[in-house]
Amino acid sequence: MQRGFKKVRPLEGGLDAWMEAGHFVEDVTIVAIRRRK
Amino acid sequence: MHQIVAHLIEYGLLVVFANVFLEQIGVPIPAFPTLILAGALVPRGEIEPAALIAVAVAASVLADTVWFLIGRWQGVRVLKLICRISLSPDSCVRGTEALFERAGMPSLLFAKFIPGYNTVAPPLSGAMGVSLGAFLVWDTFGTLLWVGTGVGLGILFHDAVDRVIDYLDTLGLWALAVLGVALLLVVVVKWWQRRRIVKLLRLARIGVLELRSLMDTGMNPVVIDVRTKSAHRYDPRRIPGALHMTFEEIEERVADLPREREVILYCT
Repeated sequence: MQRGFKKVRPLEGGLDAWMEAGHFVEDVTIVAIRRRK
Repeated sequence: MHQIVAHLIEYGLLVVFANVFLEQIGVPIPAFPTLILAGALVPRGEIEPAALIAVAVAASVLADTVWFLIGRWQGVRVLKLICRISLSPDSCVRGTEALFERAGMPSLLFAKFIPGYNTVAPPLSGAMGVSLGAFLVWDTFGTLLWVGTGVGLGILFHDAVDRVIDYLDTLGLWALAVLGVALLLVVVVKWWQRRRIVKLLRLARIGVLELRSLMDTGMNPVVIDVRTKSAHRYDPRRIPGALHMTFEEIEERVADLPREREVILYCT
């Protein structure tokens, strides 16, 4: 996966860790509806 | 060693039921050798093949149904719990989900032959909203295949199994000691390898705080959500601005990604 990229790293704990830390997440279905409008 | 065979003859079906059920529920006591051993007793007329297969299938399907219902109740969270014992929890979840997505319910036919997937497939089916009826049909056929293979091997190679038991019998208690030490060594080596790889993985990963600060300081990392399509359907939330691509899609679109920016991949 590195293939000339500056740096490739996996996020420890994934999406769950991001949400557990209280950071904002966006809902893909809402984003898709807004784009259609 | 003959004591083991004697116990198997005396309590045959009960031993098979208990061993298969415990293994399928998650206790690391391999049941396949027991199935082979029990199968080897069939040509001697010491165990009834139809009853043996029925009991083993019932034990396995019962344990799988428990996992299926836990999966239905807890969703993909239960996969994280199971995969926590694997080397990389997120790749374990993603890998099993991807396999289930590719093969669907027929994957239950061969699930028992794939280490790891064996334990994960029933709760995954539950989490993916498969009906209990469909699960029971596929799981029963898969279990029949697995039990049939074990018992069949035992019947086919019963002479060889007898010879191994006789040889171990000549070693007496030493045989048990040697087997115990060998098992312990395997467990210690596996544990050490796992510890080493987990340490390396921790070093190579980015934490939530660091990612947040990269985003806040304008470093603009490319964040890619590599969850499977079914995981996305189950939970459509994502880190703001993240691109959704499976690993196969990344391979196809690798030329479109900016190489000068750091790439962060995340999973469930």
